[in-house]
Amino acid sequence: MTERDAAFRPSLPRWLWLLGGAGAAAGAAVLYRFPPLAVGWYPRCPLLVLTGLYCPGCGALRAGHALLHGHLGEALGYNPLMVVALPILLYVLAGHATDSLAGRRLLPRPALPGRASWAIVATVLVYGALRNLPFLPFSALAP
Amino acid sequence: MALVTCPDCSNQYDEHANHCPNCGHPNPLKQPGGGGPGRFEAPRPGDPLRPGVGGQQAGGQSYGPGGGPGYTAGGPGMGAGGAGYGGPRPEVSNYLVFAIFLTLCCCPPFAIPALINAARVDARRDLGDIEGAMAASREARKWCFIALGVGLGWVLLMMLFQGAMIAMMGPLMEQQGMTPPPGGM
Repeated sequence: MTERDAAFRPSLPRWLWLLGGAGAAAGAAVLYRFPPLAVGWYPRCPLLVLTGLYCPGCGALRAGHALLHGHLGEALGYNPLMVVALPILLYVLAGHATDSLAGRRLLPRPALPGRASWAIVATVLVYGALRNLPFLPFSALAP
Repeated sequence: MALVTCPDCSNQYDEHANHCPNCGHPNPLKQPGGGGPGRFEAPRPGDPLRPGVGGQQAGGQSYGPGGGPGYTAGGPGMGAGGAGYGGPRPEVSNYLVFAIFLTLCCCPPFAIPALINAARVDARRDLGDIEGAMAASREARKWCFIALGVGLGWVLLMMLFQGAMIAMMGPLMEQQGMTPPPGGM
């Protein structure tokens, strides 16, 4: 692999974006229609089932359902970090998608310095740990 | 610190140095207008041949007739000629956003190696270790796919299992005035 291969290469192939986009749209429709707390057939987090621990994504389905119905406050209660980070995540994801689908960069996406990347990763992991603490203020982070 | 690739030996070194520390070849950036074989060509904003938005790079970007591996300076997508980080640097996908999404909705234990490797990509690239960054990028990609596969497998398994449970238990629970157990994620 030469260095030049690092130049412009979409991160994922086009078919995966089309498949993933279709799956995401179908999933969102199901999530909009069926509230996770009212039906029992939504998949449960493996970590929660096996260990009883909350992970950084715990509450994502309930928060997603609330968001799809425009209930921002309720969504924040289920998974605050996800709701806050979602606009950024979706923008970056859209950037990757358009890279692959259009074959060129449409949405500008600055390269992150290493420290920023580590800070983001640490934030996600520490958040996942803190929301398991059973006392305020950390219990507010729990789903 | 921005890096320059030596047109002679492909070593990467600080752009402020006058010579390549490996082979002594003069730093092409310090030689304004010095055309000829092996001339390093820094990207210019608005260069019609090389728009800052990436795209498939035009062919013939290898610098120097010797066929030495020169790399396209200023990775595409770095905005106007790599402004902001001030120097030639290829972009290496870090898969960070995928790792985060997988952490949020799929399978955290398998997404954690993806997260760690995603951060390593940027840290190594900052140090000029492009090969290392690309290795971390491949690792991050691999773990993203593992997490996705395990997550999807788990979802299918659980939906089958829980569906069966509801089909069996549902009527029973309704008789007793209970609500089905909430789905949790």
